[in-house]
Amino acid sequence: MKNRLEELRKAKGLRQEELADILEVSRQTIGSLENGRYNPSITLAFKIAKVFNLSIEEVFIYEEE
Amino acid sequence: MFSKKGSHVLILGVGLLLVLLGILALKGSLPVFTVSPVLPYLMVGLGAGLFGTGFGSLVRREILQHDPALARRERIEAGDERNQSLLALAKAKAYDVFIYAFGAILLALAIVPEMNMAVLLALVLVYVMVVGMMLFTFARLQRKS
Repeated sequence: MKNRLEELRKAKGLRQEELADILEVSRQTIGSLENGRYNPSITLAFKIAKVFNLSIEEVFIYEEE
Repeated sequence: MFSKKGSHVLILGVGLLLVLLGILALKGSLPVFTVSPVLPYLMVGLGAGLFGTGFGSLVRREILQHDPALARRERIEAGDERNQSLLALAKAKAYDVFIYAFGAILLALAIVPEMNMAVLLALVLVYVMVVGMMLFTFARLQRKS
């Protein structure tokens, strides 16, 4: 699943380590999310959206296979 | 029953005791432990493993107690959902490999003429228990989720 995580993180002036710290996940998880290699749980998706004051749909882009 | 620190100390102590008893048994000072010729070696090996585990856990605990930031990172790494998901996938892969590899070994042992039937049946029992555990856990998770 594609997402705007990297764009949103950079716009907020956060490093991957800082975002990872806020979300209480590892830095590798943030890297994998940004590369689209890992799809988060619904709980983590909500937490991410909340950090940026957006809805999940505004952060994660669902595409039909 | 024991505190976390207490259980680490207990593991360390049991390990140390096993190593000492194993060494004494190897020197012939403890005839009661020489029932099997491999028992002293097993005691030393198992004891060294337990001692190392207990000692490592105690050192780790001490370091984390004096470094709250590191303790927080450790907690995050341990609870990280991607780590847990990857660990579950790795375990599932290992299970798949185990089923074929252990099954092949059982078949190979079964056709060895001088194979001890009791040993073979014990290995089959372990195999069945592992598969049974997987099916039981799957059914339990199906009910819970």
